[in-house]
Amino acid sequence: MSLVNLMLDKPVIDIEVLRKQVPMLNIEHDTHSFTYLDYASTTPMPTCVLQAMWDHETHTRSNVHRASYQLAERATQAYWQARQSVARYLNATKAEEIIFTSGTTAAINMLAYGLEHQLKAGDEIIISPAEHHSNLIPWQMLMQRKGIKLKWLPLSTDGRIEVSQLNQLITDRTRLVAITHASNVTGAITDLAVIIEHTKDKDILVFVDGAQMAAHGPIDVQALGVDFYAFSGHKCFGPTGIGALWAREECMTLLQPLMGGGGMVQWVTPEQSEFVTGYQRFEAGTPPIGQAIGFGIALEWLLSLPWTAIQKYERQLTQQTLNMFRNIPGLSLLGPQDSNQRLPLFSFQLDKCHPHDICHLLDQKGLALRGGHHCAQPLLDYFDVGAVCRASLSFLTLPKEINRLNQALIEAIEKLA
Amino acid sequence: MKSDIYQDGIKQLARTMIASNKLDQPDTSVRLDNRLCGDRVDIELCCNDGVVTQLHHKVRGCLLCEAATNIVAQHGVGATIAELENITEQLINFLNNNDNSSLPFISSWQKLNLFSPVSQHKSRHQCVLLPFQAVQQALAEICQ
Repeated sequence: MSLVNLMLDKPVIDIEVLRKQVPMLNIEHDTHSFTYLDYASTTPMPTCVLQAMWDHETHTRSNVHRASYQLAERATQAYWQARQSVARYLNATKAEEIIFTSGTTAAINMLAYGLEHQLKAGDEIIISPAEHHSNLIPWQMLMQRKGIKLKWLPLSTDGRIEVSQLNQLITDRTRLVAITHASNVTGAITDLAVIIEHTKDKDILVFVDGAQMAAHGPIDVQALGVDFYAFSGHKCFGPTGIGALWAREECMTLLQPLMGGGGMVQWVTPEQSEFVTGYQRFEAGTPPIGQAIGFGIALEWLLSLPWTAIQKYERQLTQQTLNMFRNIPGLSLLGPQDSNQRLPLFSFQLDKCHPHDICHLLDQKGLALRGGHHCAQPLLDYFDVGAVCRASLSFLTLPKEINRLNQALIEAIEKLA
Repeated sequence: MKSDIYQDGIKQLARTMIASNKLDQPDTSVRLDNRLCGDRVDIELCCNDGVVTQLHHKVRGCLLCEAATNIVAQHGVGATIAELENITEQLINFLNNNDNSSLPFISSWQKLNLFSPVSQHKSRHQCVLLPFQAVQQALAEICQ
């Protein structure tokens, strides 16, 4: 057995053993070994997550917060535990700071609508061209509804957000900085500390889109000093259709609810309603209970891992991939060249080969990569490209899979020549 | 899904794109994007009495999109609006049909038969269709 052993300050971790816990990674792809390199889009689920969801749907499927029979009590308890798991993963001060959503996109839309009543025409929100469409379009929609202004942080030539320029954008009308923690195209990690430095002691909220970052280790929202943080279950080894918006306790009270319905009211008359306070105010209707339970278990699974060792391993994978790409003629990589400034996520172009063609040929070799604009058209416009291939790795990626990518890329280039 | 969509005929078509100059006074201009992969086709058209008299194309796309655009570029001029509508409809059916036993295109459009293996790859249909849809949109604007 080929082992990747990591012996650091925690017990040895064997990536091959971890991979055995993830059924999707062990499927056969015709005659080829299956090589999944699209973790930035969706991560596979470990057996413990699948089992937890199966158990819930089989043994405790019932609605939460609405009945006192034992089944419903157990479902309510499991749903609450999932919220606690999210809070632990983010190091939130309490589980009540977690709002379940259907994912990061829903979380950002909830935030944009939630803050709308706090904003006036002419107020300013600062974003960057490196944002996923999910952290751009809700603010554009708010701009159209409310007449707020969007201001843009500049990018460096390798696509990093120039956070040091923030001070020059801030005015007395600045209300919010909405920024990605890490780009889904370049993998560049945003220096949030600089943003906090520039916004502290000012009446400016900071929202962070953690969709990409959260799969690469637990987050400490208290240490980051931000006000809102969003991420998705399906990018963190959990199910689709679930995510979370974390709001600092005092910031949650700023938000108006996006949706009305059951579960978010204190009382209702034919004329009006009184909403509850806290996270329940934002979770109208029957929530995705099974998904939330799976999400919580996925995060507990991640929390059980030795992250110092894993993050070192991910940096090694990053360096290996960077070295490999440097030796492929005609390959241009977007994003930082320094493995410490980026996630193991690589968008690239090849001379005279379109990403769609490359990804198609790689698929025929059993490698799953994504080609396209990755829902980041302003960023691709910045680089003056229409589409790129993206190989996105995780701690479950093996060095031999990167070698397999190398070989398959060379063969695809030859095929398309 | 082992069919080879990157056969020599397709590659040849993509690599030998006929030259095209922007039209001085196009009747209409259309830009169409494939929202999934970022492929982009620009088409300018002039029509007279229901016949395409001039056509300018520009493509930023994958091999399939380039090859399909080249076929449009080679055979679009001189085609009637009805013929182009018919060929587009036929191409959609051809790709959706997933039936490689029939190769329905004849005469000037027979090179479209090269796209037969694409029928098995639903996510790639749009790559082939994009230039045809751009032409359809342009014709629709002219006919308005």
